[in-house]
Amino acid sequence: MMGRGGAFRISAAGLVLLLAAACARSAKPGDPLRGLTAEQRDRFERGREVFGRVFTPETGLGPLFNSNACAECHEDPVPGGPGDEVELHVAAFDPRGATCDPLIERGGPVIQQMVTPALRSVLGIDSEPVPSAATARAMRTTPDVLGFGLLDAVSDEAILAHADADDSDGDGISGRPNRFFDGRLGRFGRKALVPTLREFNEGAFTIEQGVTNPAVPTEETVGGNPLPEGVDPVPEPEIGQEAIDRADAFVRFLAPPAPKTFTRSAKRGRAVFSRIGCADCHVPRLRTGHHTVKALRNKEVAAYTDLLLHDMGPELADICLGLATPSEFRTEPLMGLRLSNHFLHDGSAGSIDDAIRRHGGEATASRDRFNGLTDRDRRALLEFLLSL
Amino acid sequence: MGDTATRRSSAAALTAVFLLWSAPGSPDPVSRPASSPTGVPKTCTATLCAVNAGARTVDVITGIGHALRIVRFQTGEACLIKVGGAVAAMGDLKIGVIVRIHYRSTAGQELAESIETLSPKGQGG
Repeated sequence: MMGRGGAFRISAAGLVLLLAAACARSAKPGDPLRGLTAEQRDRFERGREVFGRVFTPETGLGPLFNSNACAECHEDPVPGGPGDEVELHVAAFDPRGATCDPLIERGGPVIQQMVTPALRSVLGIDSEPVPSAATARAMRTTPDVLGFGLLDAVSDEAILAHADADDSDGDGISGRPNRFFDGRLGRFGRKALVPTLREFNEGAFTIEQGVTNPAVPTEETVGGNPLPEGVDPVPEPEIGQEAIDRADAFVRFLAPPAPKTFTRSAKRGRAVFSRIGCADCHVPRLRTGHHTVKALRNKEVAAYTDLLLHDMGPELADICLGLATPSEFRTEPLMGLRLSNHFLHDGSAGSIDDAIRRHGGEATASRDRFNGLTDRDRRALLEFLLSL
Repeated sequence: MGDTATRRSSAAALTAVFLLWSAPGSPDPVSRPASSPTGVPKTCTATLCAVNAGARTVDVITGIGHALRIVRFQTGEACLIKVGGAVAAMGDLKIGVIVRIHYRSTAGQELAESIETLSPKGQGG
């Protein structure tokens, strides 16, 4: 029988464990991943500077751009968070052959909304012209990129394990991957066109800020036309490899924000989330594979996405891109959802409730089940989602 | 895709400055050089978006992230074209297929030495 001394030791040990758990603070928005080396932490901090750097025409901004800094859009509540800026994409879809033209020769697919004074004075434009050949325009909100390094580290095989392009299991869900133009599986962007986080970051410097870099050494055209002489004073590339590497490290090492502690109601909501089929596409957990960075290797990420395309119905349809038809979208990751105040790919839903009710296509059955929930279950589900 | 010769004429001025290096079996383009000396053999894997047999050019869609680009390749008489593993002609190349092009940069243009189709444009799963 345990004496008083033994019981005291067990209690003390338990207290120490409780204190240790309390001290292991959950990641706040903007925190780096746990387990980074000192060198990686240094790169993360140096990258934060590049991410927040405000470019001017004299340092490479434009001549066509959507923002003058990464953090101008990805800002709320911290650099890397979502933002309220919305940008314009275009494409031309031919339903007869299900072919997609991203209108590259007419300035697509991203149409820049701002120009430098030099370009304005020469061409008399305030933004890039929208090509008349576009069959659709797409508005795109600024997502948060917290935890995207982990998404990048998920293997293609892990993503494809959730794919069921022909709905062979008959559940009404037919997720399929998008592929970049060289055939590689895509995962980033609302249409999951871009295969890697690195490429997404490199491309973003040029298309969003007009800042060329070693990977993208050419400026965007003006609706397919070359830039006039003299409007782009900084020689290409406008930033070097080191700056790109730092910015990439910052984004890559951003931790996903830990969910808020689930209340009893939120836990009920989590069960509802699975029961009504949300988790069929918003897959709660993905696992990363081998990675040179220990903090990214063999980690479970509660991303609530399968990174696949799903048909969301005609009401949400906009542009095609790659293999994605106008009504197909990549499942939006729900980690960090509580940081947003506008929802869906175009920000047109003012609440999560509204966003859910507008799900169609493959999500019709789940949406209908949501609509049929009791008030208590619906509130619980929304509380769960607002905890993410 | 429309009148390819006319629509693609403005793309020719852009293509010479944007190169995509992709070594076979090495899908990550990050390690490629941004530009290579003239004459160095290079590889581009991309989606065919135009074929002009008269001008002997092919255009492909490539890019980095959403910074998409069209690159034009000139083919000479000696350019080896393979479709589905079999020797073929330019007219056998279909829009939308993924091709691997071995080429060299010379005199401001990309000269294709071989073009081979890899697969039908990727499908799901």
